[in-house]
Parts: sequence; structure tokens; C-alpha cells
Amino acid sequence: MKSVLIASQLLPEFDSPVSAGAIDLAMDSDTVLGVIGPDMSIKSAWIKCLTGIEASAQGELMINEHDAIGMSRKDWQQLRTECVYMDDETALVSVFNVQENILLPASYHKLNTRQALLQKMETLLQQLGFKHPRHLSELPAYVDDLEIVQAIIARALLLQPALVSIGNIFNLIGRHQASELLAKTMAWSNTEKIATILGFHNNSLTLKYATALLYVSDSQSCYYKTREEYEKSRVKPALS
Amino acid sequence: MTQVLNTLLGAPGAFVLKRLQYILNLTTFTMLALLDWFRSIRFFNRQSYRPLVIQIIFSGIDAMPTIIFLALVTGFIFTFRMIALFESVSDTMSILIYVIGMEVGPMISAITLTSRTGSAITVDLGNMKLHKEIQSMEYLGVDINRFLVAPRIIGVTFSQLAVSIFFTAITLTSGVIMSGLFISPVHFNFLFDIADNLQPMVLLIFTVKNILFGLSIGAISCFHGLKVEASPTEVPQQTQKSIVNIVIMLFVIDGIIALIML
Repeated sequence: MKSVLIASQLLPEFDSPVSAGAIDLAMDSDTVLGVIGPDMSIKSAWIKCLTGIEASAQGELMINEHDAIGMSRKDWQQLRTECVYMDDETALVSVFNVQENILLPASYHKLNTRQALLQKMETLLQQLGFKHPRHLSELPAYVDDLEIVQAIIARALLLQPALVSIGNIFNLIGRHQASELLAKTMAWSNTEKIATILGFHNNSLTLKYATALLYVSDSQSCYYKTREEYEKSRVKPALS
Repeated sequence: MTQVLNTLLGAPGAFVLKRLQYILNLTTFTMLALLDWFRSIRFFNRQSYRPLVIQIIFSGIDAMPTIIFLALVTGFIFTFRMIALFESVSDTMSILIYVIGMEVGPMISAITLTSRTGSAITVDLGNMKLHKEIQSMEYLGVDINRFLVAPRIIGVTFSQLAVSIFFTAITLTSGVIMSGLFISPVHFNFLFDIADNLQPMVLLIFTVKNILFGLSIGAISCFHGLKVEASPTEVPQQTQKSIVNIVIMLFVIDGIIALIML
């Protein structure tokens, strides 16, 4: 199986000085990497670095066979369709309706015909449990919070990425809704063979789905290739 | 002595440097946005023009009722009054072509577009930046220059040219018709005289001036919209800066062109 992500001696750039070490890791298309740890800002920095959103302080990073370090702006933009990133700051474009928001990146990158994208969008939204009596093209971007999150996920998955990173996007909605929506998203990722990085405030939500784990704090960074490896680790790191 | 000179020249020097830096940043910003757009555009693909067409509809077509009203009022205030004041036909022609056609028409169109479209662009982009909508699009590989900035700059430029032609035509025609109706029917002949006196050079300068006006309105409003960082209070601040800088730039361009035409 081809590796979707390979990191060698990777270390993010942090706002404040940290003593955590660099990591080596590899992700296949069926890997769900959970990023866990006590401090959200450290986790965010690691996720942004692993997905090529932000520059690293050191190391090498290959995403879907692209060298993600020091790439040109154009290549970086192309990479963003193969490795999508979502967190609590991800937003819909307020001037477009929900349908245009979901279709925007895929049609911008000309991934398929509009008709084919519309069909795929319908299937995706059905999978994510999006229900609204009005047609999507009549819905403004300021729908309710659950629908916003569903639209953001659908917009990202419509790009058919090789790697998807889901951060604290579920902050807007309740715990039960978040858990349900994450389950539906993970089911889609499994079917489509999309490698996934998860990192939430709530580490238990991450642990529920992760097949590999990256523990990060300001003093430590450990990569566990499997859940078993993490469970068996002699000194299980503190999560809070 | 050196200290006195430094104190005297320090503040104006810093002011000039700041202005020059602003113009340099603005020019780079505009060139990069336009280059990104021209590199990616597929000239025979309708979808490539969609954001541009939307901008032209908003800036140009939607502004028509306001433009028609202002043009009729300007036709009465300027064209009609000037025809009434001057007796010599050649003086009247010069005034109509050089003052109304080359100055009043483009300037009032530009100021209308600045207050209507320029401010809207700054507020729109500022709010999008503030609410992380722009960042979200960038994270999905959407080129902001190509998708948001360039269509606005080009759209406003086309609109400025079209609105200015329309405005100037209505201002001149309505003023001449009013003077023909209320002063003397002979004045109707001015319509043919204006057409005869329009030299290719005048038309070229009119076009260049409006293109520069449009580029300035589009580029400055986008530039300030994207300067918003983290606070909602920055949106009105940047909008105000954008409008003031556009108006200054319009007069500077107008002054430079007037100097060239001397």
C-alpha cells in the first residue's frame, strides 16, 4: 500500500519555545492518525505542520508523493486539493448559498462536470445526514451550526482528497451531534480510502477512531504506529 | 544646523517615503493579482469569466439608475449653464469637450463608483478576511488573487469606462437638449458640433484616464479590504482609508493627465 504521508525528523515551528523532539511517521490510505495531548495549540501546530499548511522548523514531509517542504505557491494550492484541512476557524463563504459553497473548490479546480459534482454532493450530504426542507441553492451560508459543519465537511470531501485532517470543527455543535457526524464522516473516509488525521480538544473522541497515535505536548512527542503500541506503552502520557 | 535640517526634513521625508512605499505595495499587489488571473484564464471558457461578470453587473449595470439621475442633474448644472454663459461656439465646444467630457464626466463617475462599489468591496473583503472565509478558501487551494481580487479590479475598470462613457454622453446630450428647448433651438446644432470636434487623441486620453481611474478604485479597495486582520473595528477604518486614498489617487491621476495634455 502506498504511503499517503511520510514525515522524517519533522518538527513544527512553535510560537513559544518547546522542548519536544522531532518525529518520524508514515500514514497509509487506511490510517487514522489521532493527534492527542494536553495542549490544543501544540496539537494544532503539529496538525498544521503535518498537512503542509504551515512551515516546519526542520525535517522532511511527503504528502501523496509531493515534497511538501518549500514547494511553490502553485504546487501548494494543488496540494490543498489532495490534503484538505478543517479546524474551528474553517468557514463557509457568506455571499454564496450552501450549494455554491460546497461546489466552489471542486468546480474551481475543475475536478468534474457540474452535473457530476452535484450528484456526488447529493450522495455526500445524504451520507452526512444533511436534511433541510429547502433546496440547497436557496439556503444562505448562515444556516444552523450543524448544517454549516456538514456543508464544510462535504465541501472538503468533494475534492476527493487522499488525506483529510479534521480539527476542532465540531466545537460549534453538541457532543452527541459531533459524535454522530464524525462517525458518518469516518464511514465515508473508510469507503473512499481516505487517510485521516484527527485532533480535537476532546481526546476521547480522537481515541475512538484512531488506528495510530501521535502524542504531543510542549515537552514530549511520541508516535505510536498502532493503538496496541499506545495501550502497551509503559509510561502512558498524561492527556490532561 | 544638521539637527535643525533633520528635524525640518524628517517629517516630510517620512511622509513622502510612506506614500512611495504605499504606491509600491499597491502596484505590486495589483500586478500580481492581474498576472495570476491572466495566467489562469481560459479565454473561451464561460466559467472563467463568471466572477468578473458578477462584478461588472454589480458595479456597472446595477449603478445605472443612480448614474442616469446624476448625469441628468449634471447636464442641467454644468452643460446647460455653460452653454447659457458662453456665446462663442468654439469656446462652448472647448468647455463642453474638455471640462464636461474630459473632467466632470470621468470624475463624477469615478466618485460615484468609489462610494458605491469601492466601499462595498473593502467591507466585503474585510469581513470575509475577518471571518476566516478567505483563509478557508486558501486552505482548499483557491487562489484568492484569481478568484477574488483580479475579477474585482478588472470588473471595476470595465465598469468605470462604461459608466463614464454613459454618464458623459447623457450629461452632454441632456444639457444641449435643455438649452435647445429653453434658450434657443440653434443650440441643438451643438450635438453635431461635439461629434465633429471629438479628436481621436481626446478619445484615447478619455479611455486611458478611465482605465487608470477604474484600476485605482478596484485595486485600492481590494488592498485595504485584505488589510483587515483580527478586529471588526478594522473594517470601517480600512473602508475610510480606502475611500480617502482612492479620491486622492483620482485627483493625482487627473492632475498628471492634465499636465500631459497641456
